[in-house]
Formats: sequence, C-alpha cells, structure tokens
Amino acid sequence: MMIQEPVQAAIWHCLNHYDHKDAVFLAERLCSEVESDETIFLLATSYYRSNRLDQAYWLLLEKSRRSPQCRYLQAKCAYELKKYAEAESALISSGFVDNKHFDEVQREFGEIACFAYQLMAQICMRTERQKLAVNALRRALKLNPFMWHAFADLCLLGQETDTAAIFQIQSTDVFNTCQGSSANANSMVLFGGSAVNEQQQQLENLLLNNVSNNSNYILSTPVEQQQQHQQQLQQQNNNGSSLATLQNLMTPNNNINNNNNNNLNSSITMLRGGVQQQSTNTNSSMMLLEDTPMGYAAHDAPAQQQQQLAQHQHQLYDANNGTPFRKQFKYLSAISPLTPSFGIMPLTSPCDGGSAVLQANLNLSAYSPLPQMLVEVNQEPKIIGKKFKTHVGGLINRQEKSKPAVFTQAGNITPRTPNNVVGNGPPNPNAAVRRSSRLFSNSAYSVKENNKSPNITNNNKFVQPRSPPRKTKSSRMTKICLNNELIEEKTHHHLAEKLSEKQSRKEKEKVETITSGATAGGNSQSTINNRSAEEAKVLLNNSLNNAQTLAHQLLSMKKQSADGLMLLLRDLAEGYKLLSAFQCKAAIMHLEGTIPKHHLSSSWVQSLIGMCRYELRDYEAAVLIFKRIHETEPCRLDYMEIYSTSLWHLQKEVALSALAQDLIAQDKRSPVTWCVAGNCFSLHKEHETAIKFFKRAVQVDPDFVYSYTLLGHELVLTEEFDKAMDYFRAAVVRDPRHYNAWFGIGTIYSKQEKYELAELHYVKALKINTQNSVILVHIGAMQFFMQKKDLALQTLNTAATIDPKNPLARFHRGSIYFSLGKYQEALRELEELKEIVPKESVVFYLIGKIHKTLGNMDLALMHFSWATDLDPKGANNQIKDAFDSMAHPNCCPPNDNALDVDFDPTSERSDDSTQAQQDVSYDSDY
Amino acid sequence: MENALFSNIKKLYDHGLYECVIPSASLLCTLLQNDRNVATLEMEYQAMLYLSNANYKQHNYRTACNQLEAVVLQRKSMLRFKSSYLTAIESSYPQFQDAELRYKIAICYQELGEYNMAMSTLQAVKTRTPRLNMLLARLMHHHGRGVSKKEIALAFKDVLRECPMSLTSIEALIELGIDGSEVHSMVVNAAALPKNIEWLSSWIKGHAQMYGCKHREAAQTFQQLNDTTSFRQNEHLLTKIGQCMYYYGNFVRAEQYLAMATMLNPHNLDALCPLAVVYEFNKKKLEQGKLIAPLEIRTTGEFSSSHWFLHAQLSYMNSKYDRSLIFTERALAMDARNIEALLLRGRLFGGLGRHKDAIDVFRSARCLAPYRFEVYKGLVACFIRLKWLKEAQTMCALAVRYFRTSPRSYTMFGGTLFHLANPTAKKSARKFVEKALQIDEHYAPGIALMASIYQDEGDTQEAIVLLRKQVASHPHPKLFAMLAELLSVDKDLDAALHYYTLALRLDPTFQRALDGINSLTKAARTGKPSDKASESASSSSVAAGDASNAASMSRPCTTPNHEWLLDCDEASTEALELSSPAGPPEDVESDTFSEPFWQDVDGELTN
Repeated sequence: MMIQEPVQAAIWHCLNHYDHKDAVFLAERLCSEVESDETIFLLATSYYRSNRLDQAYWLLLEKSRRSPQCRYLQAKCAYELKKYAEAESALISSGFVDNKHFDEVQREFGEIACFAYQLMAQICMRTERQKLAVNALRRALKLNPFMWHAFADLCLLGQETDTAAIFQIQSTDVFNTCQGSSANANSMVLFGGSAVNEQQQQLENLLLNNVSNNSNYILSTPVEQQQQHQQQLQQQNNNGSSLATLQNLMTPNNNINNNNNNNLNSSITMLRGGVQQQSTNTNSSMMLLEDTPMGYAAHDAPAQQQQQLAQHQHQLYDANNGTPFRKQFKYLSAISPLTPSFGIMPLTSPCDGGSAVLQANLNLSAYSPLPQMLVEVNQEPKIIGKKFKTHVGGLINRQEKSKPAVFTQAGNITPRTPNNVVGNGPPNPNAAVRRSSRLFSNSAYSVKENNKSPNITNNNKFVQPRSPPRKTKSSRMTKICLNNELIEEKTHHHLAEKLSEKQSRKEKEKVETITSGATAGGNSQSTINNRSAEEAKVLLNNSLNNAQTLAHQLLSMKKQSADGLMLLLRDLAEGYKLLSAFQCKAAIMHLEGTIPKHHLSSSWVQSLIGMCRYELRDYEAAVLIFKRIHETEPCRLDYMEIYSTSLWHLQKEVALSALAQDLIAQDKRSPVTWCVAGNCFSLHKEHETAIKFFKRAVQVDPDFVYSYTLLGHELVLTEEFDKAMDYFRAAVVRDPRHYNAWFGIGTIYSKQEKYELAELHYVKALKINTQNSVILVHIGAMQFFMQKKDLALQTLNTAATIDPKNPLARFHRGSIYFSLGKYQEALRELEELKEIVPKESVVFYLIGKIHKTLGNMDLALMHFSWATDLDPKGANNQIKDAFDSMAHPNCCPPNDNALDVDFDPTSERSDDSTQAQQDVSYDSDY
Repeated sequence: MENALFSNIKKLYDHGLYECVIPSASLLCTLLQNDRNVATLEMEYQAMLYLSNANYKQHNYRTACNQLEAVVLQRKSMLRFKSSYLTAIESSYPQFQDAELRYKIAICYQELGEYNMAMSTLQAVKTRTPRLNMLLARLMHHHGRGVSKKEIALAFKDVLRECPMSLTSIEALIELGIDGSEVHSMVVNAAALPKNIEWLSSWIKGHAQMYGCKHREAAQTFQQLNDTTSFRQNEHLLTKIGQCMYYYGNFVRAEQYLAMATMLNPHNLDALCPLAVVYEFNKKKLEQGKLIAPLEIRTTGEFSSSHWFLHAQLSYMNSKYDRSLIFTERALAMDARNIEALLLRGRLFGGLGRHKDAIDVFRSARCLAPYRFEVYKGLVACFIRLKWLKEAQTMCALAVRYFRTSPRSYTMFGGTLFHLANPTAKKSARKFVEKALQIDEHYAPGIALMASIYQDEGDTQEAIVLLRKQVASHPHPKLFAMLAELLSVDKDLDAALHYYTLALRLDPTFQRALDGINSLTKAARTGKPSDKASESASSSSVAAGDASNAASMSRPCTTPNHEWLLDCDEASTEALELSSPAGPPEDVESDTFSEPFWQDVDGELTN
C-alpha cells in the first residue's frame, strides 16, 4: 500500500491535467501490480476519460468489482455502449429496476446516488418505463438540486414539475449529497501529501508536494497569523512582537492600497507578495519569518528549490496584482443588490487577479477538499459585501472602503467582535478575520466539514475530540521527528483523521517555525516549548468555542451561496418548462422578465428565446437572435439547426449557405452540421443532395431526432411516402414529444387520404404543442374531409383565435363557408385575407368562384384574371377551366371537388405555413 | 542378449519412449517364449508389464486390455511363489500395483465401450482406491443398466468419504436425488475436511436447489457465493449462476453471466453450450457466430460432443435444420447425455412435424434431466400438436408438481387448459394463471394469458388495466401491441396509437404494431356509423384480436415464459417453431375428456 498511494496520486494528477495517455499507462502498471477496487476504478476511469469506452467496460466486466464507483462506471459505460440490460444489472443486483430498489440504490451508492439515479432514469427512458424514470429523476433532483439535466429530462418527458420545490435547498443536508468530494479524492490528498514527506527525492512527488503546500499556504496563512496574534496578545510582555504584529497587519493593507486590491484573497496573496518584497527590502526580521510561506518551512525541501518556487510564486502574484477586479464587484452589486451572486465568486472571479489561486484551485481540485475551502473563503466577503452596504453605508471613508471585504467581515461574521465596525481600527478586524478564516482552514473542522469523509454523515462533525490533544502533543515535538511520527501514525489512523491530524500538525509546525523564528535571536528550545504549549491551549479553546458556531456559519454561508444559484435555476427552469410545454409566449415573457441581464444575454438563454420565437413562427426574430449567437460564439452548435430551419423558412439562401459553410468547416461530426447543410440544399431544391446530407446526420448521431424529421419532410417532398413514414416513425420512436414528426406522419396519411389516421396523428401533435395553429388548421381540414364541417369550422375558429395572422386558417375557413353556401361570410373572410396576403392567387381564384356562384360575372372574371396574373403558370388549368365554365355558367355548380383541390393539405416541411411555402404547395395542388 | 535387451527396454520405458518399448518388448517376449532356458518368471512378467503398459499409453486399448488381463493373471501366480520380487517391482513402479492394473483394464474396457466388463473388473477389486471408486461410480451412473441409484450413490459416497472436497461427486450425488442435507452432513463429518468452510454448504445448497427444480433460488445462492466470498468471478461459479438463470428462463441475465464466464475462459464448454442457446433466445446472431470462432479446431480428435452441439445450434440459428439435425446426432453419438443436444433435437423434430420422434427424444431427456423445464414444455407442445390431450394434461400436472416455485409451470398448465374448448377447463385455467401471478406478479407470459382470459370473459377493461400496470414497469413490445389492440377495439384510438408507438420503439420492425397502426383507420371508420355496426365491428375485431391473440396466446401455452415472447416472431418465418400455433382443439378429442379430470385440477393446485 505504501507504494501504491503516491502512484495513485500521480495518476490522478495526470488525469486532472489531461495527460490521459500517461494516466492510462501508469494505471495499467498499477493494476498489474495490485488489483483492488481502487486500482481497477482508477484504470477504468483513465480509459473512460481517454474515450476508450469499450476498454473501460471490458475491464470492469472482467474484473467485476463491487464498489459503488466501479459499478456506477460500469453501468455508465454499458449505457453509452447501448447495452441497457447490462447497465441495469450493473446498477442493481437483481438486474431489474423497480420502485422498491430506489432506497437500496441510495444506500449502496451513497454520495453518488444522485448520479446513479440519473443513469437509472436514462436507462428507464430508453426501455419505456417512464414512470420509473420520472421517479428516479425526482429522487436525483432531491439529492442534488444542481442537476439541471435531470430537470430538463423531466421536462422532456412531459412531466408537470414544480420548479420552486425542486430548485431549493431545504436543509443543509443536501450538501452532503451534492458536493461530494469522493473518498478517493480525499485519500488522494492524504496519500499524496504524506507519502511526499517520506519520499521527497522523487521528482514527480515533489511536484505534488508543491501543490499541496500551495494549498496549505494559501489557506492557512491567516490562521497562523491569528495564532501568532493571539499568542502575542496573551504574552503582552513582548512588546516587539505586538508591534511586529501591528506592522504585519498594516503592511499588507498598505500594499493592498497601493495595488488597489480590495478582496480578501488578494489581500492574502498580497500579504505574501508584500512579504516577499519586504524580505528583500527592509523591515523586521520577525515579519519576514512570520510570513514566510509555511509549507516550505514545514517540509524539508531543498532550500534552493524553495527559493525557486517562491520566486515563481512571487512572479505570479506580481503579475496578477494589477488586474482590476473592483469594477466587476461594483458592477455586480450595482445590478442586483439583493441577488446573492452565487457562483460568480465575486472576489476570486477571474478578474480578481487570483489566477494563482485559480491555479491552485485547479491543481487541487481533484486532490482535496481544499478547493472547497477556497470557495468558502471566497464566499465570505461576498456576504459581507452585502451586509456591508446596509450596516456601514456611507460611514466608511475612502481609505477603508479600499479594503471593505476584510473590514466588514470582521463586523459581521465573527460573533465575538460585533461592534468593531468602524471604531476599533484595523488590528481587531484583522484578527477577527483571521480567526474566522483560521477556522475555515483549521484542518480538523473545516476539512471535516467540507469533505464528505465518512464521519460527517455520522453527525459528529462538530465534535472532534481527537485532534486538540494531538495538537498539544505534536507541538512539543521537534520538526525532525515529525516526519517519523507521520509515518508511524499513518498506519494507525483512519483516513479522515489522518488528514486532519496531518494538517493540524503542519500548522503546528508552522507555528513552531514562526515562534522559533520570532525568537530566533536568543530564545532557547524550552521557551519555544513553553510558548507552543500555551498557544496550543489557546488553540484548543478556540477550536472548542468556535467549532460549533463556525460550523453553523459555514453551512449557512454555503446555503446562501447555493440559494443564489437556486434562485436563478428556478427562473430558468420555469422558462424551460414553459418552452418544453410549448407555451412560447409565456416562456419568453418569463425569461425576459425574471432572468438577470447578464444571464439573459448569455447564449444559452438567448437560444431558448430563439427557440420560442421559432416555435411561434416568428422567424425574423428567431433569425436575429440566432444570428447574434452565431456571431458571438461561432463555435456554438446548439440550436443551429433551428437557426437553419428559420433561414429556410425565410428563404435566405445566402445566409443559410454561409452558415452551412461555417459549420462544415468547424465540425463534420455533428449532426447539426449536416442538418444545416441539408436544409441549405433543400432550399436550393436539390432534394437528393439534401436527403444525402440528412442521412449523414442520422449516421453521425442516431439519437439526434431532428435529423429524422427533416429527412422525413424532404422525402415527402420527393413523394417517397413509405420511406418518409419510416423516418418519421424513427423520430417519434426516439422522442415521443417531437410533435413535428407526428405532424409529418399526419401529412403522409392525409396525402394517402387516410383522413382518420391523419387526424389521429395531428391530434397527437396538437396534444404536445397545444398552441400551434397550423396543426389545428390541418385537423380542421381533416375534419372537413370526413364530412364533419361544423367541427372543422370550430377547429379553424380556434386556430384563427390562437394565431390571427395565420392566413391558412382564414383561407380554409373561407373555403368552408363557401362550401356551406355562406357566400357572404366567405367573401368577407377572403377580403380580409386579401389584405394580409395580397399576392396569393388562390385567394383571388376562390373569390372569383364565389362571385361566379353569386352570379357577379364581372367581379368573378376580374378575380380570375388577377389570379392568373399573380400565378401565370401553376394554376393555369384550374383557372382556365373556370374561365371556360364562365361561358356556360350552369354546368359548373360549386362542388366539393374543387374544394378538395384547395383543401389538399399543404406539403410543407416542418409544419409551418409560410407564404413561400404556400406558393409551392398550392402550385403543386393545382 | 536377453539381459541387454531387457535393461534397454527398461531404460526406454523409464524415459517414457513407449512407442519404442512396444516392438522391443514384444521381441523380448517372443524371445523368452521361444527360448524357455533363458526365461525367468521375473523377467517375463516384467517384460509383459512394460509391453502392456506401453500399449496402454499408446492408446492401443484392445491389445493393452488383453495383455493387462494376462499380466493380472500372471501376477496371481507370482504372488504365490515370488512375492518378494513382486514387492520389489511394485515399490519401484507404483503404477504396476494390482489396483492400478485393474484400473487400466477398466479404462481400456471403457474406451472399447464394454462398460459392463469395465464395471465388473472394478467391482472385482476388494479395496478400491478413490480413483477406482470414482471411475466405477461414473461408469455406473452413465452406463449402468439396471444399476440401482443406491449402488451408484454408494460408490460416490465411497469417494466422498476419503475425499470430502470432491465437488463433482457431490454434484453427482445431488443429481442422483440424494438429499442435500444428507450430502452435507456426510461431507462435514468426513475427517479429512478442514474446518470453517461455510461456502461449501452454500455450494451444496445451491446444487440441491438447482437439481430440485428451484432454479431461481439456486441462482440466488450461487450469486451470494459470488458476491460475499472471495471466489468472486470464478468461471465455474459464474457458469453455475448463468445455468440456473437459463434454466429459470431469465435469458438476459443468463447471457450476462455466461458471457462473463466465457470471457474468463473461452474454452469453457459448460458455459458455451447454454450461452449458445441463450443467444438464440435473445436473438444475437452475431455473437452466436463469434462463439464458435475460438473453437476452430484443427484435428477431429478434439471434437467433442459439445462442439458438435455448438455447430448444430449455429445451423439452427441460420435455419439450416437438416444440417442441425445431423450435428445433434453426432453430438449425441459421442455423448448420449448431452442434454442441450437432446433438447435441440427435440425442438428440431417438433418443428419438422415429426412429433413422435420429438416425444421420444424429450422422454429420454426427461430421464436424464428431470430438472429441466424445457423438457416438459417440449413434451406438452408435442402432445397438444398430436391432440393427445390427456397426456398433455398429465405432463402439465407433473411439471406443476416439480416446479412449484416457478410461474412457468402454472402458466403452462393454465395456457393448456385455456385453449381447450371445454368451458369448465377454461375456468380452471384462470386459477392456474392466478397462482402463477401470485408467485411473480410481473411474469409476462402469465400476464398475457391472464389478459386474454379476461378478454375471453368479455372483461376487456380488466385486461387493459392489467396490461397497463404491467407495461408501466416491465415493457415488452408484445404486451404493448396486445394492449394497443385491446384499446383500439375499445375505441381509444389515441391510446392505442400511443402503445403501438411504444411497441415500435422497443422493436422498430415489429410487424404486428405496424399493421395495427394501419388498421386503426378501419377501427375508426367501422366504429362511427351506428351502434350496430360498431358492435359488429368490435366483435369482428375481437374475433380478429382473438385470432391474433390465439396466434400469440397459443404460444404461451406451449412455451410459456420469456421465450414465448421471443419466439413469437419466428412463427412467421418458420413452421419449424415448435411453439407455433397449437390450434385450440375444438374438435372431438376435447369431448373425450371425462369430467372428473377437471376436478383434479384443484388437487393439483393444492398439492
């Protein structure tokens, strides 16, 4: 095991830095050496991440393991390889999902249960068990409200959902299940770190070492300073030290002021930076020692390396110092003062000059729970920033304002010093800050708190009896024996404990170094021991006192931050839900009304709105939106197929061709690309090529439903109904809520004069998309053909009320009036229609016919000739017939035959009636 | 000369050059025969030993057999005069001891197919080693005619007494019908057994369940063994689990386990044979083809019965029935106890319409493996096809008696009864199906049969409710289609369309659903005009539905389990399907049933 652990750490390190090849190589070696749940999982993960699904699945199958991670990964692989039965039996021991298995799953999978549920739901969806799928999705969301796609799937299943209930964090327990830092990751840090202590000569481990040092370093500095501070406060006899503290406290601030840095993190960083500078410059030796990055002191790394690293970091911080981030902060607070701006991490956001922090974050993210701590540290100032406004307001002068985060934090977060907002000056707030942040990084508590180590679920997160005594013990030890102790103890203790202990020890070490440094002049070892013992007492007290309140604070902070996200998710979800129910107008209103501007302008939200516009057949607006998206994010493929269809409807050949070119140059493996290309050729009336491209889209991704539908419509245009039917069916089979394909099937049936079936399918489409007037019109037509004229009229009336601008509805209504003998009404309808679509020959033709039946020969002739003028080619025969019949007015009474022609359902694609499309279809009809 | 020759022969034999030993030893023997002066009894005996053993090693069994018999005879005389010399030889060559020689003779007789001789040779030995006991037991078990089970069991028990970990003899004992607990106590009480091996009792329990027709329970036992002990992923264990799943009729799971077992060892024929069958039921032609690939065998000598069976199964999958029949014949010629081959042969005969042959095959399979449900299923299907309804009835009753914990047997009985014209019979069918559903409420063929019983009773709504409940958790294209048909009769066209679509989603080329969608128009049109018309329409479509259901439903009666659901499609492709419509026997035969027979049904249920 001793050998194994650093190797695992190295593999995770490779994986986290996208060096998949090496990860696979190393993991394979490791697996050959030791075959355990962990190593197998590691190798499988490496395979999976380097996109070798089959291999991962084969491995997990052959070396079948019972650990939940392995089983989950196996199921995931099986699912992606479309082996649904295998996936199911990997997840569930009895091999068949049932309602009664849900609790069992939750028990077995622990913190990854939410993902297991999601996978289960996907399997159920594929095997037509919607109810189970819904159930699983709901459970997943309950465990982890951050899973947006679980919600999206719910919407796609047509489920009624209560967004407010889903996207909220009822209790902080949720964090246990949705922010899991897996046990592996925890052990990784631990193993990495401790092993490093033992084998420092190994180069790769050194790297790791640095990383872990980094993290400690960033996080624990305040702690250490606070300790120092307290220690000094207690030992008032040492004036120099308190002075030094003051200086220490002041210096960074000055620094910050100089650099226009306001946030906590940067203040910490600056502290470092400043120290580095100072170390070269002047000031007290105490300062220097105190602020020397502790990680290095703690580890026995070669001095030279230390220096190099320090230099490197120095550079980093320097480079980051100048970045303006203040603006961002202001902006944020200005636009949404009440919105907890959750994930923006206002103060560590990319602008805050904390790329070093970010990097550390990155480095660490897989290793440890530490990033989380980072986040928390970062959340702090945000909350403060909020309260700051209310509490302090204008009281603070410019100078203080330059450092608001730390300042107000002191006032509001630390319970002990609630009143020291303005009057007490810098030292106290600083101390307070440090105390609180100390507790963040205080290994025993914060680590426990944040990582999902086994203990946390046992509810003893607040009481950690072990570590304080250990502190005293370790504090007495010298640095040299620490390593030995580490090794020795490592074998004894549980992982989580190890972690906490190690960190506490490390801190101790630091303290020791500091104290020893501080008293470097003449103090003997005994003094150090004395001091550290006292200091340990303080620590003990502090930790005991603060642990509970702090844990609460932590949780509430977490919750506040998450609540911010939940607020946004709720709004987005509401909009998404409306869209998926095709309540497009409401969806647009909701999205535009509730989503904050900076989210509203994001491409994803804009695509949603564009989609709504498209569904409303407001193609101009849709095109406008999608065009903007395409310009700002040319690589974004999502919804581009909708863009292309909108362009198709508007017959914008140039734009469509350009889009197709763009996408083909970008990504030939996306079905979207080929849909766009197909649309392009379809617009050019090159149906065979279009069909070819749509087929390619199907080949590229058989699960992309829209390509089937487009292919179906294209085949309808080329009159290959059987094939078209197959493709529409394929679409419906893959997504039963794809109303467009239902509509397509209806179209085919109506062309085959199977009106009942056509109506059935149209109704099916209508049930999905209740607001679509085009479908209603077609239903009306079907009803008319089935001699249900009154019903048809009613349907058409509904269509007209839903969408008054739909010319098709009115035209059909006019025709029905005509066939019912209500000539005046028909005429009125058609005259109105003439205003909307002044260039439709059919309208004039029909008016002419009505006039003819009414005996108004002149008017009839006039309209017929207008019709001919508008459409000299297509309608020739019909109109000619009409002209001919004018000579013998009695032999051509109005009959249903003529109407039949008019009524033939238009063969439009994508269910939409556009003017252009009407031309085409009516042409062919005549 | 003779001494030099003898020492060289000895050298040759010691070096294992048996083919060189044969001519030289035979020369020496002749020499000793011709010149009695030089011949000593010792030398002659030893030369004979070398010669016979060399022949045995060279697989010249017939020669070896005669020579060994002679050696044994000579040994007897040697024993009388020169026992000291004999002990010298036998201490340097332990394989020349009496028991070993007799073992070899028995092997020779076995190879020559003279099993009785082999057995009597072995029985003649007074103190048998476990090796001899095992051989004897196997011979008696496989080839013994008129040997009572007790005797066979005794032989196995002899083995077990000395070697308690002989798992094969444990299995054989259980297969012979010895109670699991008895075997267990025997094993545990054996002195040589190390303590604390709990897994062994699970192992025994699993086998007891498997041969006691409780396949699902057996699978669970083995699975537990796999999950909880460190025997995880052992190929034998996986094979056992897979076999039990297969015997139970859960082909999907069976496939997973068997595939895993073959992945661990691609030459594991125990797993390969059932896997081939399971692939057939799961319709995985591609995998089936691949299965043979690692078995590409250069020499015919290696070809075993199982290999023949695999080829037979592949031909069957590819609809080459004649060839398949030949292959099964070969397989059975090599090993008459190859049950999979027997079953396949039975199915082939049944499909080709040679029901009497099929019955013969199934009957012999029943003697060998009464724990296989497929045997009863095949027999019942044949009886029904031949309209030997009484026999079918008896067989169903037997199956129910044996397979108490399986819904398959009850459904089979129910299905058989349901398709009789006799109204009382129909009524009792329901009881059986209810019982089946009581065991497993989601047993698909049971559900299907129940739905058609409801439908038959005119309670369409009930059938719809039942099916809706079932498909919500256990989707299957057949059930979807059935439900959709019921709904379209019920004039709920929208829901019918919905379920047809669902059926298509699971099986995009499902003809029944496609036809169903297209006939929705008819249902819609006929429904409208008048009540009378709609009534006639519905009745006609009920009739149609009945017909189509009869097509599908008659299958549950013959192959009442998951494979029914899988088999159905093949009806169109092949008359070869054993389970193709057994046509409700509405003619005379059904009347020949005496009424009392139906009263037995209840007794059957309570037993």
